[in-house]
Amino acid sequence: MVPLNYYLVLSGVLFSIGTAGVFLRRNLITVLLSVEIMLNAVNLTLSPPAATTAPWTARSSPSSS
Amino acid sequence: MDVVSFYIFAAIAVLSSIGVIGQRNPMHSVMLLIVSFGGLAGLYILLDAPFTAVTQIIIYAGAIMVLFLFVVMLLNAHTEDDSLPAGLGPHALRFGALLSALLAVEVVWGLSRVGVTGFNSDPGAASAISSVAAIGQTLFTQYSFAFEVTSILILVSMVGAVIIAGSRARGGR
Repeated sequence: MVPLNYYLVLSGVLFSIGTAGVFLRRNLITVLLSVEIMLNAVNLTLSPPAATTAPWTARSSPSSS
Repeated sequence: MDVVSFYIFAAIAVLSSIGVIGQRNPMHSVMLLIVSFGGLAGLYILLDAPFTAVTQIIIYAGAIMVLFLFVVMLLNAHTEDDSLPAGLGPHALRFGALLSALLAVEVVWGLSRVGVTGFNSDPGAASAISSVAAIGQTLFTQYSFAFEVTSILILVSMVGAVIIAGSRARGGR
């Protein structure tokens, strides 16, 4: 399988591209698109650790807090 | 095989994202962003998260990007004016590009030092928890409070948008 680092590095690169777009572009719509790129980079950060850690189960004691 | 497809999807996502911020036409930017979301959906499929991939396609590429396309077409903003904003010279743009390049270098350097190992979950359990039935059952039983709070939050933002647009249409009262 692909190591977890690859996904994190990819999302970091995507986030940097988004920040570069926010800094560089002067059009409001393109700035909003860059913000969307950053949001998706953060989404991509959240998913691989969920795939690596031990899976939660749907019916495992809801009052376990 | 997995690594090869990861590289393909990652190249699609990164190159089209660079194209988004490199295009001068906002319409082309939106189209390239849809391509980038497609690459990210492929990555989610590689991560055994098909539900996330499908919602990525439906919600982002389907709904949000259509909204952006409507905005671009309604505003007639097909080209970008070359005028810099007031008080910002070309040095400010170069400084911003330098800052984001530094951010990229820092993130890649820091993450390459973290020794995270590979996946250790078995694919059966991963596909079992990422099935739509399991997600729906958990969402409406265990996390129903968070679900309802999120729906109230969306309702509040929707009412706020209607109020702001309505007051502006009535003359900014």
